[in-house]
Amino acid sequence: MSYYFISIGGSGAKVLEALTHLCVAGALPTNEKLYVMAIDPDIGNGNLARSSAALHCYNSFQKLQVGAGTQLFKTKVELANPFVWNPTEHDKCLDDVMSYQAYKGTPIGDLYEVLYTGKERQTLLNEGFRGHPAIGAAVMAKKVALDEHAAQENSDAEPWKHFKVLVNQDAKSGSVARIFLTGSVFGGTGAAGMPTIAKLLKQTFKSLYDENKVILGSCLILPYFSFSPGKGDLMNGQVYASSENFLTNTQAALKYYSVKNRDERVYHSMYFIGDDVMSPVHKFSVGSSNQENNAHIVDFYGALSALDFFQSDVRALKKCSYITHALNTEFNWSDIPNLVLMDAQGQKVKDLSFKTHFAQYVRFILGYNHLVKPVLRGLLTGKLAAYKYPWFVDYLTGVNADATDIKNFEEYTEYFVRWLVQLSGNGPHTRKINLLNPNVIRSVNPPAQIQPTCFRNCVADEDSGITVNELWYRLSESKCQDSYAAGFGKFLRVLYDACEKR
Amino acid sequence: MDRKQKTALQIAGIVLCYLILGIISYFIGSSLAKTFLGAGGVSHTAWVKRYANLVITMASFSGAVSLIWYLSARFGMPVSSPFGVGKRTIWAILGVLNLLFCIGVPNLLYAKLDKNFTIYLLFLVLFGVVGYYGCSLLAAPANYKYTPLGARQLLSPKTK
Repeated sequence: MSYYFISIGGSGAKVLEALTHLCVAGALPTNEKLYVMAIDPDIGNGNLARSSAALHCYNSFQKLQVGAGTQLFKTKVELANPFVWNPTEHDKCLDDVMSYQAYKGTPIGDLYEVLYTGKERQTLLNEGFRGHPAIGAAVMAKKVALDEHAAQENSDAEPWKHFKVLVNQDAKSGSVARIFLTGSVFGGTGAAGMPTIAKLLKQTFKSLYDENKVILGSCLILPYFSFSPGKGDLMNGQVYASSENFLTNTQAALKYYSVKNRDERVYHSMYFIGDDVMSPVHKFSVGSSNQENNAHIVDFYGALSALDFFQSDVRALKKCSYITHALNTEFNWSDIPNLVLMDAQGQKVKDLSFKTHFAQYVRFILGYNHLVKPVLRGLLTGKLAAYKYPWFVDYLTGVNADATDIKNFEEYTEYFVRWLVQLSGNGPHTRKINLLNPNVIRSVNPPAQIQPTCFRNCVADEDSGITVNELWYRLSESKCQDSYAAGFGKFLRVLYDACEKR
Repeated sequence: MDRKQKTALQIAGIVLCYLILGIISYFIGSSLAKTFLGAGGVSHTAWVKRYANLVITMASFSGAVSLIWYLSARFGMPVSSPFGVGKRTIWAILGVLNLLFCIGVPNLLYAKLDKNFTIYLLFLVLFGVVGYYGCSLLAAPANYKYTPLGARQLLSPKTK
């Protein structure tokens, strides 16, 4: 089987960020490839920039040879090309996309004028659909080049052309293509894209869909944040998303999905993730690079819903899924579902405690940042004496620290730490996110710094027994038996294994 | 073999090493004494008895220094940051101290025992170099295994 993940809009991008980290940590059920695509007309979107930065880093260092038989980096990613599909061209408005001038004065043109206000039709779409899904739905339906007619209409049919090839290849080889979409139901791009793209996918792969060789899942993000534009944030008459309309939009969207699913099922599985506590976004932005919201527990659950979809039995897919947490004022590890490991045939091999697995990964990243990163270059240039670092002598002599994959890995560790800190930050109204020890990270400014005394219980409610000294010792005494591990990847493998709670 | 077993084995190895070195220095020293003990002086038999005590004392001091290095490296110098590690200075200081014992112990505690430079040389080589250096090289905690001078060249894996 193969995994396909399509993020739609800014909220989808945040789920993508969370899924990226889970993917790198080896949380997906098998080592099948994950194909990733983002859809966003707002190419400069800050959320998308941050989430795709981590993913692009992984795309670079995933070739590090950490060996077989490990969860670390086991799922390789393939990025769509172009990675971010923009259904609109630069400085185009809806009138341009729909070729309004050709229909002006005709009955179609008149209907079009009734359905959309003048502002909606003439607002430039460089910063997305501004919380107006009706705009997005029309644009996407016109631009997604999954069939030959649309491909002919659109001069550049990628990334949809290659996407279609991959899915058909899966079907030919007897695999199941699991396609998962994620986006908000209350915004602009997500609300427009989620039903539209899904419908187009179903139509394109109809025969495969009916045979359950292509299955569609979705994570529908419900409102979880609010914002208000300040006095100077908007120009006169500007179209923008308004958080006061989120709940109304959501209600309308959910009614739509309810009717659609009853009459004409599109998604095999739908996951609804939201929050009854609205996190305030302090810095309003219409879009572009200024729109960058902190990581949120909702994004994390969104990514977990993708895992659940990827690891579900095709014969027993859950139609609609919800999740809750035990205590109203906090999130704990017990509120996170377990992982499932599967074999190549999609049969469950075993359950893995998510906390245990993720904690090992957190120690791995923090351990690297604290013990290795500050000294690696000094060691390789000879400024620091190698004898002091047995693990360097055993595994890293002669490694080129300026190699692209190593630099990308180190950059990735900074993204991960920042994401983790944001995720674990206490939410509004004193609600606690008890996933990380709040004292373990001293600073997220690169290079991230940790409090060494907190390392052994860096993950909340767990004493791993692995102090910094213990980790150092394990690194120094370990022998990597995996013949497939080599170079810098071998060292990372040793470090990862040393972080395992024994 | 787990770490506890390895630690116990290494400590036992250090003790055994000094036991063997003591036996070797006893026999070599006894042979050497025949070359410098005067005809009218103390008998060889009596000299050997006192020399045996010197060897035991010397092996104990030197062994203790080796064990101090081992136990400090194993338990007494925990790493909490990647800076300030290695501790070669401490290793070197203990090594110099050991060498000083090799000269000081016979001179101060066994001043009346007839000896010449060959006995001092014997102690320096066996207890000072072979004993201390050999033990710190071969029975080393993993986190300081390359601290002794030359350890990296002698012990690091040739191929990865």
